[in-house]
Amino acid sequence: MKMNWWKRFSRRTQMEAQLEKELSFHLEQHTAQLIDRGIAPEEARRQARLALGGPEQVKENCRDARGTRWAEDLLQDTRYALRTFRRNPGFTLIALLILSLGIGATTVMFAVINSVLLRPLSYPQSDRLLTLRVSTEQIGELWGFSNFDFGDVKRESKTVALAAWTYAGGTISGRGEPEYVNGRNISADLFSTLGISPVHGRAFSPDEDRPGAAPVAMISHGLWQRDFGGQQSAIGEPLIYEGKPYTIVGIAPAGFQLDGDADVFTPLQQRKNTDPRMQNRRSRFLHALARLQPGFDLSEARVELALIAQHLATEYPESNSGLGMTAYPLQK
Amino acid sequence: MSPSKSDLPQGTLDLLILKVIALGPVHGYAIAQRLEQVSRGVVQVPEGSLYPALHRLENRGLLAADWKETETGREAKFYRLTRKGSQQLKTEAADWQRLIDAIALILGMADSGAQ
Repeated sequence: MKMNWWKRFSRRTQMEAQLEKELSFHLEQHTAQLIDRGIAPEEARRQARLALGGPEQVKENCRDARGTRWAEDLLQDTRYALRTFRRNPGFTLIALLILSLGIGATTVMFAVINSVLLRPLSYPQSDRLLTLRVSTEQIGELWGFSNFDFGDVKRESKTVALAAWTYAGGTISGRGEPEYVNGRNISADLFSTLGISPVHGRAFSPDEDRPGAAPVAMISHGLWQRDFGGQQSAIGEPLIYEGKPYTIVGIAPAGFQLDGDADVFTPLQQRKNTDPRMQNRRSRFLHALARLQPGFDLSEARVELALIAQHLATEYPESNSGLGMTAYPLQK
Repeated sequence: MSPSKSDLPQGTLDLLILKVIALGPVHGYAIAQRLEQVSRGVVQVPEGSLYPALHRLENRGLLAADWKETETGREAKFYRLTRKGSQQLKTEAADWQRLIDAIALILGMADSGAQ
């Protein structure tokens, strides 16, 4: 009788019993035949099992042939999970709580970035701006890139120009009252990727965006007004930030935000040797922004990112196995 | 297991199974025996792949199976060909014949000299 998939799945216990019966019939027949030929019973049984190629292995292959394997495994895993949850309600509660908080926070973060990052300023050709995301098998999509992955994608991609930033902050002093300010570490090309320029001075050069380069900073329009009276002479002035002297090279446009206001912007890679997260492929903490290169569209960028992710997964299986990469329009 | 035995070419096991079953309902063990005898020990029929293949063919609707008593009074699973199965056997057998003819032609060519 021909059974459909559902029947095969719902009658799996019966099918297992039949498989067992079928194979033991085979073994008995073969054993009996070998005994007839004068082989000792114990040896005959051994040879019969050997000829069949390991009954357990054969059973496994027969189960695969049934085509219901994935559902059976899923069911078994689910049952196992539920059993564990029942036995360990405290753990379950905490796990659920952490998961919901994590998912909630990520969602909020994304919503916040979408609205806050973009509303204040309109970027030229903002429909070509993308946010890049990674996804792992266990957790799903995340916003963060590791610094190494960011560097590799930036180097290999033909379809997008890439920039990155992350949160920072510290005390500024030297002028008036010491004050804690929010900061951001940004890659040198963040401004050019977004398509904006400082109102005075300049953005960072690639040479400044590396470890050991002279410490330079851009400041917000607000801080410029507050502490420097909006004077152009602020360019080239020193700024003591986190106890270190920086030279101010540019003033960000009024209203420029990266997930909220920040007053001090410093080159991302200058942190490379002091921040261990910068040297760890598993530390996925960078926000990656990108602009489509002329002549490419979103779907082409996605294909390329998927390929690069695959290539990185082969090259760095320990950190990148199962890691996917994709892009979304920054402005919906 | 003499070294002269060859492995089955890819895709032929299903064909051989269908052929054996076409002669009348049989159980798995008898199929294994018949394959062994008929091939005169030239090809190695991997017993381990026999049952997965049977189950696969059954799922594809090429075979049907019933539990029946053997001559010795034991219950065994007897396989028989469905209409779809005998159709498949015809097609595959014809395909193989064509391939064999073509290969024979090519091998024969070397003796008579290429034209």
